[in-house]
Formats: sequence, structure tokens, C-alpha cells
Amino acid sequence: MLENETNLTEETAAAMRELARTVTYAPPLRLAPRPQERALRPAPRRWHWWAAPLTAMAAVIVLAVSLVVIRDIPNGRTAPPGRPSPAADGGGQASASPGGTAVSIAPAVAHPTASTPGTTTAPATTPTASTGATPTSSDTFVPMQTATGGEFLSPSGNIECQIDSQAGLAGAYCQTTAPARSVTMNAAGRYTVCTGQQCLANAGDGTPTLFYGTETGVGPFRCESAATGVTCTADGRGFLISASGITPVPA
Amino acid sequence: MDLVDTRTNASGADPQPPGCDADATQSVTALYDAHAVPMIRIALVMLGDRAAAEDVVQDAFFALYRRWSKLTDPVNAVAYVRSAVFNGCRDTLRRQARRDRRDHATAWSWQDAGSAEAVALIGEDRRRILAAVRRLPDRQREALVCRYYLEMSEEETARAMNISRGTVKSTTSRAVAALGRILGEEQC
Repeated sequence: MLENETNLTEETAAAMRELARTVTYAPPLRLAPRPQERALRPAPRRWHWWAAPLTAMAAVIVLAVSLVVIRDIPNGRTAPPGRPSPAADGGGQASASPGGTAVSIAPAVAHPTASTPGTTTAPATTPTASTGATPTSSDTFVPMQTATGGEFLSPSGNIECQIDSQAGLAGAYCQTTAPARSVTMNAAGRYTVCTGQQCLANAGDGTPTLFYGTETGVGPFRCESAATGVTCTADGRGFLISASGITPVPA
Repeated sequence: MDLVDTRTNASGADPQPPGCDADATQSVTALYDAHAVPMIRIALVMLGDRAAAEDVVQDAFFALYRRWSKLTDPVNAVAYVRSAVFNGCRDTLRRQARRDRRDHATAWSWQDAGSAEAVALIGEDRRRILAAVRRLPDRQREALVCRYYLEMSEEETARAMNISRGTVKSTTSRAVAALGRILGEEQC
């Protein structure tokens, strides 16, 4: 065994020397860094075995997030980027400027059938406005959905109004969701106030927004949207509704 | 024969690294003239690839050139280069092993080493021994090269490999045993 081992080491040394003797010259010395092999030949891109499930998981997550985002995008209502906060419409400081005039046809809101009588009559004043349907300021006037009426929301969404000029049904109705309160006005500018949840009705889907600084109306009714609330008048008098309450117009 | 690539130096395309002067160029060139072939031989025995061996030696002398001003005793320059050659061989073997694993390469053989002309001159039995040496772990191969090719003592080998003398003895012993086992397996 020892003899074999000695032979093996001798044979190994002899093999190494024989290989070494094949080197008889050296190439010229270059005193400059040798280009890195890695830089000359980048490693090929490979598809690692663990990448497949990770990619699939990432795809599922992206899909789920996309579905959530799509679900949350509101449809049917085109509000400008500078939508005011719900604190506006008389309930706080308004921050948005008047926007566009997006109006679409939407189902009408049902009037509350039961109302707590709290009838208030606006102070009688000499009518100055025309009783016709023609608005006086065409720059800010937005037509209603139909020739006989329609509905709208304030930019904050807290005030919802409906106007109907059909014979026998003529009237303007507005409500604030918070606090729960509504007001119904006839063509003579006389209105009644109702307080409580039972006074409210849900606005229809796709109800358009009447932006601040614009007005709308049919027949003798006209409503104007402002940061301080919505003012509706008929025959020269009416009410201002906001989160702060309902007050007669002119005061 | 002028071993310095004077073209690059004369043209100024490769300026001298900071801290290197004409004296360093002259001294390192002289050392290269005297020791390049033995160093390439060591690297070839370690790597089994002539081109890779030449690259390792070039890198070792270039490293010496860059460190020339910091070398406290130029007498140690040869030892420094030999140590750099061993280090370069280890790095090359590691890179080669990674590449082999990545490419699922089959077992290395001397016939594939790119030194076909040199290998052709070596007998079949010794080629088998060299192939078996190539299959040893790097440290065992390095110990065999130091002890049986360079004929270093155990003390010198311990200094060269930066290990204890006892480790040299055990590593060499295991290397020889493994070599016998590999060659025995091939005969079966």
C-alpha cells in the first residue's frame, strides 16, 4: 500500500512536470488591466424555476387590484376635478369653483308623501321676475332634463331638488340629507318645511349636479346653486336651503 | 525577445496606473522575463488550461506592478507573484465551477481543456492522473502541486497556502488517497 502510494505520488509529480514542460514561452507582458470576461460576455437571461409561481401570483394581485379600482370608479356623473367637499352648500367653507354644466336625464325622485306641517309663508313682495319659463341670465342657466321639470344635486351632494311645472303637480321640492329636512314650494312662492327622516326621498341614479354659480328651472320656478346653498324662487320669492337650515328669500 | 507590449506603452493608449513609474515598469518586466514561464506552468498544472493560466499570470504581474511602490522588500516580489497566481487559480476555478453548474456541464476532461497540442504529447496513463488531479478539491490539488510539483517542504507549503503544517500533511494525505480512489474507480 505504502509502495503504491509512493508510486502514485511519483507518477503524479511526473505527470505534472510533463504537463508543465509543454509551456516553453510566455506571451508579452501587458501592464494594463485585462478586460473582464463578464463584461465581454454577459450571463444569458434565464427563466428560473421559482419565477413562474411568483409571476402568476403577481398577475392575480394586479387583476384583483384592477377590479377593485374599476368597481370604485363612479359612473354616470361627470364632476369636474375640483369637486367641493361635503362641508360646502352652507354647511362649511366652499372650496371649489364653478364647474361645467353636465346634465343627464335621470329618474325623478318621488316626493315624500307624508310631511310634518310646518308651513311658513315667505314674505310677500312685489314680484319682479317674469313668471314665464325664460331665464334672464343665459350664461349661467342650465336647462332641466325635460321641458316640464327635472332634478339636480348640489356639488356637495347634500342638497337634492326636484322641480315640476306640470299642471296640478307644479312645485319645487328640495331636501338636505344632513340634517334630514325638506321643503316644498308652490308656484306662488309659498313653501312648507318638513323635518325628519320621514321627509326624505332618495335621489335617482345619475341625477346631475348643478354647479355653483349656475341656475336652472322650468315654468315659474328657478333654483340657483351657490356655496352657501340652493336658492329656489317662484313669483319673486322662495327659500334658501343649506345644511344650516331653510330661510325665506328675500329675507 | 522583448516581453513587454511596447506598443501600448509607446502610444500612450494605456497610461500607467497612479503610483507606477518607469522604475516599476522596468523591474516588473525583468521579473516577468525571469519567472513568467514557471508561473504559467504552475497555473497550467492547477487549471489545466493554457489560456486561463496565461491570464492568471498576467493578472498577477499586473497586480505586482500596481503595488510596486508599496512593496517593502522587492526580494519578496516572486513570492508575492506566486501567491497571486495561486489566488488567481482559485478564483478561476470557482468561476469555472459556477459556469459548469450553470451550464450543467459534464465532467471536465483534459481533452476538452483547449490545450490539445500539449495534451497530445502526454501519455495516456499520465493524462488519466492529471484528469484525476483535476477532480480533487482545490485545496488538495494546491497541496499536491506545492509538495510534488514545486517540491516544497511541508513548512514552505504551509506558508504558501497560509495553513498549518499539520493541515498540509493531512490535506496532502487525503489528496493522495482520493487520487488513488479515483484512478481505481476508473479501472473498474
